[in-house]
Parts: sequence; structure tokens; C-alpha cells
Amino acid sequence: MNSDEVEHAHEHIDKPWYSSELFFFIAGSLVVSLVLVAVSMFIYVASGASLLDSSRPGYLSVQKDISDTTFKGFPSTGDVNQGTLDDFNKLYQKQIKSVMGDDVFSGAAMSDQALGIDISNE
Amino acid sequence: MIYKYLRFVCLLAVAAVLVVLPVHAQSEGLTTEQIATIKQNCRQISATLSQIRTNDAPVYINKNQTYFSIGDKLMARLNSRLTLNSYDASDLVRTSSDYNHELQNFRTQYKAYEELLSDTIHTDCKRDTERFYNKLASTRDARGRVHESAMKLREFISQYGNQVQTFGQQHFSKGVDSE
Repeated sequence: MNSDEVEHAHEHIDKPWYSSELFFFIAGSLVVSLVLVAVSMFIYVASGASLLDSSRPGYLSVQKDISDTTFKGFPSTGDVNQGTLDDFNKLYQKQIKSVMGDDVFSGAAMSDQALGIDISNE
Repeated sequence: MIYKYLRFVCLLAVAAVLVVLPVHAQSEGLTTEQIATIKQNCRQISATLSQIRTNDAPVYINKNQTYFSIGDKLMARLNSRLTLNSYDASDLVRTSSDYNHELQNFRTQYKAYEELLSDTIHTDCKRDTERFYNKLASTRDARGRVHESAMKLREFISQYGNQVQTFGQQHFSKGVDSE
């Protein structure tokens, strides 16, 4: 072993663990993955996707109330005649039935009376 | 010298008014009896709000799915089919475009409402009663906007159905079979 090789070997041995390449590689990987997770979580929440994610822990109790939709829809190609419009109308009426009848997100559920803070009748 | 003093006093008075007024305006409408009632029923109110939040989640998911399928799998496809067959479907296209914009608004309003509701639930109604009530009022307004948007979507759905009916009458003498 010549003097250069000895010097190089000493440098290699004396390097502390936190300045080794392996440490930087692991730490760098962790930082990059944390940043990517933070970005994806931000997008998940900001886009509103989290509100539609029925697999969320908070939604487990109401999963049974979420209907599974396998609605195929109306074919976008083909002739147009009276029968076509009749077929469309049948599908349309069937599909809109569930959104036309009820009074969704009405204020009554959150009124003072409903919450028990209305003291006008007490 | 006296002018300087007067100016200082005026500035102080304006600052005091600016600080006190919003606080006063916020707590307006909440009587001492109501504050006492909220404090007394605090746990029950929070539980009710949490229950509303839990119940709203599947309603939103289901409605959003149905609204989306109406726009994407029915309106857009009929518009496309009519256009491919060289029919003038401009009225239908306009209505479905308005519908899609409103659906986007519905999602935005619901997100804002959900955030406000969550914030209200996490506010201590026993210690911070007035702030809790103010947040509750904002949440109610936000819920009202979600309701309003759902009603607009219903209007567009009806409008589109009527326009298809009219289209049928214009191009095929019989019109469309209404069930």
C-alpha cells in the first residue's frame, strides 16, 4: 500500500456517519417522500376528493348509506328518432327521481329549535 | 400642542370604535339566556352537529354521483348524439353547460360548508360561546348556499327535460312520452 492509498483509506475511515453518502441518500429519500406525501394530501383535501372518499375512517359508519352506482347512461352514437327520445326520457326520469323529490341540506336541521337553543317558546 | 393632543385623542377614539364595533356586531342577537342555554346544552349541541355532519356525508356523495351521472351520462351524451345527427341542440347544450357550472358550484359550496361545520364542532361552546354561535351562524349560511345550489340544479334538470320535450315536438310531431 503506497502513501496515497493509506491517506485515502484514513479519510474513508475517519468520515463521521452523518456525512457519509449513504446517510445523505436515506435522509434525502425521506425528505422527498415526505414532501410528496404532503403535496398529495394537500391536493386530496383541496380538490374536495376527501369529501367523496367513502373509504375514509370517518365515513365507515355510513358506508352502507352510500349507493353503488352502476349507471351505464345513454348511448352517445346512433340515429335520432322518436324512439330514441322516448328511451332517453325513460332513463332521464329514472335517474332524476332520487334528486327531485327531497329537500337536501335544508336549514331546518340546523335551526335553533333543532339544536335546542331556541328559548323563544320556553 | 393642544391640536396634537386632540388628534391623539381622536385617533384613539376611532381605533376603539373600530375594535369594539365588530365584536359588538358579532355578538348581536345572542341574549344572555341563549348563552346560558348553549352552555347548558353544549355537549348535546356538539353531538347534534356531529350527527348532522355524519348524515350529510353519504347524502353529498350520493347526490354528487347522481348529479354527475345526469350531466355526464345523459345530458352530454344526448347533446353529442343530436349534434352528430346534424340537429341544432344549442339550447340543450347551453342548459347542460349551465348545469355543469352549477354542479361545480355545488361542490365548492359543500366543501366550504363542511369546513365551517368542522370548525364549529371543534369550537368550545362552553368557554367560547359567542364565537361558537357566530361560527354556527356562518355554517347555517353556508348550508343555505348548498341548499340553494341543489335547488338550482333541480331547476336545470327540469329545464333540460322540458327542452327535450320541446325538441321532440319540433322535430317529431309526437313529442316525447312523459311518464
